Amino acid sequence: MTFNSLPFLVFATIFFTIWPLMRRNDQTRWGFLTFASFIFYGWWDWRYTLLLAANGFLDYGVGRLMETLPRQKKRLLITSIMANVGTLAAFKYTGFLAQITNAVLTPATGMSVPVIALALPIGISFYTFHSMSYVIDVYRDDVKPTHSVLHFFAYLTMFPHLVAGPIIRGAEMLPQLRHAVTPTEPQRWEGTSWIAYGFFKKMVIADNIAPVVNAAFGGAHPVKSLPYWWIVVILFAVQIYCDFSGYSDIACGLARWLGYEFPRNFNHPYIATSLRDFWTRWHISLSTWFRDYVYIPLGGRGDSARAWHMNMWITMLLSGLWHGAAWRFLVWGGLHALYRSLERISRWPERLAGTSVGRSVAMLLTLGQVLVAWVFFRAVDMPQALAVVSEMFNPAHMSWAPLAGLTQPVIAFVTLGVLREVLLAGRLGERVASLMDRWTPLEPVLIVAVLVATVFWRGEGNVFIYFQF
Amino acid sequence: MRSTWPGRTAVTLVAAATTILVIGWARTPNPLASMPEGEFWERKFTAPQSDIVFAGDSRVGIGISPAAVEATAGLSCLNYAFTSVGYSGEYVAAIRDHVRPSGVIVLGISPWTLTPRSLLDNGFKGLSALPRRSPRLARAALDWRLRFQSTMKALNTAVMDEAHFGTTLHLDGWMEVHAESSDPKKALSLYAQNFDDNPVSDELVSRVMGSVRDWSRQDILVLGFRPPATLDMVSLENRKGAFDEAAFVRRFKDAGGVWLDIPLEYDTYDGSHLLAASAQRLSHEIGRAIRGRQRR
Repeated sequence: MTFNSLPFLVFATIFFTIWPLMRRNDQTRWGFLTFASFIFYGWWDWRYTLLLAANGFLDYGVGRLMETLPRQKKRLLITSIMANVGTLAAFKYTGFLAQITNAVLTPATGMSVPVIALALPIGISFYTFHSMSYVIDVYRDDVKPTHSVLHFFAYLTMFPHLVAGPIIRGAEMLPQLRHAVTPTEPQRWEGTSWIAYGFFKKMVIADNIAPVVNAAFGGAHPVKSLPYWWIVVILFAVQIYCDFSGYSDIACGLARWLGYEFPRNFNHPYIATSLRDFWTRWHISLSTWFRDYVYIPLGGRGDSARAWHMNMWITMLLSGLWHGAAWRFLVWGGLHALYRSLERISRWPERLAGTSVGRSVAMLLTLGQVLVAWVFFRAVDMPQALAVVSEMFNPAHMSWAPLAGLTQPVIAFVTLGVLREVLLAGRLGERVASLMDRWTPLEPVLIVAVLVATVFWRGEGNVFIYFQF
Repeated sequence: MRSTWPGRTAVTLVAAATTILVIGWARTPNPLASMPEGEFWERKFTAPQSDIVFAGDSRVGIGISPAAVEATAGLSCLNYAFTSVGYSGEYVAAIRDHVRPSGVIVLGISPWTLTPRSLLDNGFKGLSALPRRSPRLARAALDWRLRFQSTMKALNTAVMDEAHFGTTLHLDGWMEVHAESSDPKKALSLYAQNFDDNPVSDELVSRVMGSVRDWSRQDILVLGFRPPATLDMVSLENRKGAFDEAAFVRRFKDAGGVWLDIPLEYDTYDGSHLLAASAQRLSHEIGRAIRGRQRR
């Protein structure tokens, strides 16, 4: 079930009514959380719970074995990684790999391998990464393996983060789950605030923008207009940010209500002044996962600039592939790698950082690069992505006429999204927080308004974009 | 973490829930909308069989009142038109499923419905893609209780100077449109864009002809007509959509269909879609044609 659905409202009401009774004892706390999370996950398709369970038992077992058979640690790690990556590859990349094989094989030999497209279990990319991080952390002695299978499953399947993150590591969550925490009123309030704004971002801003973006990318041939495509891509940038960060906010808020804490997943990414800065603000749990489990093991910064470029490129390309088995995701990752390479070589962010005008220019330059890359992320396929990008840079097509279809109130929702970001980012955000502190009824009134607006202004229901990954 | 006071969360949540319920249940329903939109489309999508089934895009959805057709033809009628729909295999099959044996199918042929892009994203496809297991009608009704009207519509009314524009959604599938003022050129730019690199497809025309032939063999009376629009619109569609109406009509008749020549003397609010009074008039006109055919 998705957070923005009636079944979830019923599920959450029942869960949080029973939770205070179940959280006192370790076994009932972990058992209840696991049971509820399996219901939450099985709501999509109960058969996928078997895969989730198999994944969990394997990595729990590997963790235990690493403790009892320390000499076999490396072998066990390789087994777990191969099983996890193999499962992910089987469900997510089989079709893509077959297409690549055929592209090479067929022209030369006339033979082809069958293209099998398995249905992708929802959230597989997320829970596989949760699980892998646990095994790697146990291998590195960064976390002690848990001796309770329920404890492990409560962490792995915990419904707030299960299907679309944030990607939580065992080292962060397992110690928290050891304690029966009664959330304090400030924690409950913070959770409520996260949840209310998360729903607002998703259901009001992202869902009202979605039809315009879908229509733009739904055409067989891209509209021939430079301004049209820049505006559509800006709309998509706002949509995907509000969609995904909205989900993360709700997840963090639900964790708060449970008495736990998830790490922050977004930090106003569109005000980044370099691509390096952007990746410390966008999908932070994924970028830090790739940093700690791919980039650093590859050698990180290395001894030379060349090593850094190579390790960074591999990491970014893998990050692109993680999002989807298609060339356009690979190009999206590759574009970000290219941006970062150019950034490192030219050092343009540092050159612009000296003045406020320079920082504004750097922010716009960063945003422009991110927007171009988003085209590959959103397009239906590579030919469409290339056609759209060529329209974005074709000064011969300066027609504003296609924008007539966009002068809908969607602009109002984009403005809401941008205004919210501006109000909360930087010093202005601190002033807003201080105002809330001084006049305590203000925030509850705002939350009521946000929840009412979410119900009555919500767009047509869409699933969260990141569910497909 | 910011300062707070005891019970703040509970009080806020109760206040929000109360406000939502009070607004949702005590509100005056939009007098222009007789049915919630979600329920309207759901009912249309899952409607039972009728003697007469009208198919096509929004021009038919807005331009044909089944009640008026029924009053004239004396047979049960369903408006099975969907927004931006094209004659895909799925849609054609669904049309057939909704007509009773020896019934009448009336195809509204606007050039858009025969273009490749009409198959990509349309109202019918959207409904087909929804999961079947949930009690969608109940949900649609609940959605309505918890929503004044669609956000876009609300803001269009408030911001976009469309205060004198309204729709009434009927159980029989008719979307009745009232507008105090009209702009016959309003839809031209949108349609010009719709046909950019998107001319009428021979494949789709052949599919329609194949269906007309099959249905005629199954003792179903198949009528076709071009939903009326302004002359500017018709010219634009013919030119940009590369639509040869005369050739289409010849093939339609050869396949066993009956073509109704509808004059362009109806009033639209945007150059493309009929106002309620014109829709009623057109429906009676087609109802009479059906009655005439049934008597033969």
